Amino acid sequence: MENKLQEIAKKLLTDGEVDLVIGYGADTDRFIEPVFITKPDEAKKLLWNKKCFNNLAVYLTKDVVKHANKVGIIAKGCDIKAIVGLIQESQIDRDKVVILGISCDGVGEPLLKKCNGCDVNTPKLYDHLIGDPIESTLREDKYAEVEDFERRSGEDKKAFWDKELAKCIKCYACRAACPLCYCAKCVVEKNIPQWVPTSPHSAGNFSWNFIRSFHLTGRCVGCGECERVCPVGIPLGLINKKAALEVKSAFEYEAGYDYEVEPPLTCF
Amino acid sequence: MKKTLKEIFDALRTKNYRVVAPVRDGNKIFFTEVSSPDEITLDYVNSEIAAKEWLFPRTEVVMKFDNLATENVEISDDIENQTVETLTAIIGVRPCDVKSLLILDKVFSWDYKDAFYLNRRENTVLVTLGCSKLGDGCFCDKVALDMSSQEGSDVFLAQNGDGSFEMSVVSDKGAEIFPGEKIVPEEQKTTGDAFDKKKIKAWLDGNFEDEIWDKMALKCLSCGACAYVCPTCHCFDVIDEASISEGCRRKNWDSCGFGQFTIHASGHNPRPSQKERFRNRILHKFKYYVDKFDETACVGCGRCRKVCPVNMNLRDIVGAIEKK
Ligand code: SF4
Ligand code: SF4
Ligand code: SF4
Ligand code: SF4
Ligand code: SF4
Repeated sequence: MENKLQEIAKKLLTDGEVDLVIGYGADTDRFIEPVFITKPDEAKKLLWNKKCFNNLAVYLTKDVVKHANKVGIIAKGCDIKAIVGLIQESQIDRDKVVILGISCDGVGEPLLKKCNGCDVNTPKLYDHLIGDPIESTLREDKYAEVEDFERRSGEDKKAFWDKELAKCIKCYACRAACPLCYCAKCVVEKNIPQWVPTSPHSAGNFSWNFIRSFHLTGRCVGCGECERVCPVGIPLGLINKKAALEVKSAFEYEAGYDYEVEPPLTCF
Repeated sequence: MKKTLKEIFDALRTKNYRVVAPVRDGNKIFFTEVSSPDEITLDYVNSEIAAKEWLFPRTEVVMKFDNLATENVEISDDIENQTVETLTAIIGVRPCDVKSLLILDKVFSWDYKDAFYLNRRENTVLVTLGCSKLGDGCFCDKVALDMSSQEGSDVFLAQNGDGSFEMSVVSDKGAEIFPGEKIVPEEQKTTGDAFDKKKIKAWLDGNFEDEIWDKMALKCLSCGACAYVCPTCHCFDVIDEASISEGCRRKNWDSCGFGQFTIHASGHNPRPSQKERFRNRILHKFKYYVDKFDETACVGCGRCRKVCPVNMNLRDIVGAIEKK
């Protein structure tokens, strides 16, 4: 698969079809770091394996991409859901990205939580498919953890979030890693007046984490990046999945599958 | 002398110290106030967030005001409350975090004396746990910090194979709690394979506009994770929070990684992109701090890389600069 990946990336760059390829390169003990390839010869740096965690779609709204004419991006099915969201929300043109979609049977050892509930092992949208199509076998219902949590008493839920959110240090890594948190000025940065308290105390942390989730309701694609990067280990996915489940039951809509469908809560 | 954790804990409690120590929460370790030695985990590499948090908290009130008064508004300085700050003992803190406090002391007692930090510092006893091997991602050796350094400690512990500790008393503060023979901490040994800090600084002095900065910063996502977990980062924001009746001024952690860190009221931002922001992070640690205090502001704990969503590795970055 790696060979095919490098081959296609090299060809895209050689033919001038794209002037940048965003992919996975440099192997480390933690994961494969993102790389930005601009020369055909460097395409051989591209890697694919079970340590390719990052959702590279986060870079599609950054300057490095805005300055490029056309970009190639290596993306797993779950990452492509975020690309779908960005197209829907007019953040990128479908014509401006060449998607090298990966047939993926899961990352992480043991598998990341999201991979157990994956229904996009073969991506739903791509320009080139790397690897043979894989049929999704849902090992787990992705909303199961929300349903389990819902069974707890109100008091119990409150105690759980009090404890978890007390850990938040307001580093905003969750926002930085989220492909759909692309606002040039986040609501917490609007300080005339200051709408959301920026202090990492209880009121500030509840405001931040729930406002972020509200803003992603119907938009979060469940790529799990926010939870992966949170340095203190807050189960952020649980908040986002709860919101996604509400949208699913109210509008029969789940984010990230089809960019031609109008999202129920965000029409631009 | 040989001691058990319980003996150390009890001695501190007898002297009315509240005890802060590494506690496991899932797969993470946090410095937490504990009421029993059973809560403590000393079988660990390092905490997620540096121990500095107990001296320079993520948020703290520095002033209070009455928001209803129309004249003679009463403003109360919260320093008074902070001077009665409880005596605190941090058990199991690693030599890198202890070293970081010596570094922070300089900036917090420089032109302006930060009473909040300094009062806590005065009232804190450091019971250091030496390391016997480098953890994954640790690079204290590269910044010339010995992993069994006693510099800055009050009491120093070395782990014995049987779960007990070989305890040495290092400072007067330590001797007040554990009367006994005091050792003189060894002069800081330099480690074998350390960075050539002079060479690094010389390159940084002359290459503010090098292309390395563009390349390096490309993947950085502009968050605050690296700064917030770092034991030597000390930037803070000052904000006012008020309700209808009362208000307070807070000192909150801030990070040079954020776009808003340098934005002017006019809207102009002298560090408009990640290139300038990440460059500042490196320069602050390996040049500006050296210019001002003759010391680098990195103790090689490796936390910044561990939390970085894209694995920015200071060890490699500074290593590459050294080779320039
Ligand atoms: S969620 Fe699916 S596409 Fe994404 S990494 Fe896991 S298995 Fe691959
Ligand atoms: S990543 Fe975690 S600690 Fe940082 S702001 Fe988000 S929730 Fe808080
Ligand atoms: S909120 Fe989290 S899971 Fe949802 S799209 Fe953003 S990073 Fe992915
Ligand atoms: S810069 Fe990184 S390695 Fe150095 S002290 Fe800070 S967190 Fe530790
Ligand atoms: S280096 Fe990593 S942790 Fe620091 S601001 Fe950049 S992305 Fe965030």
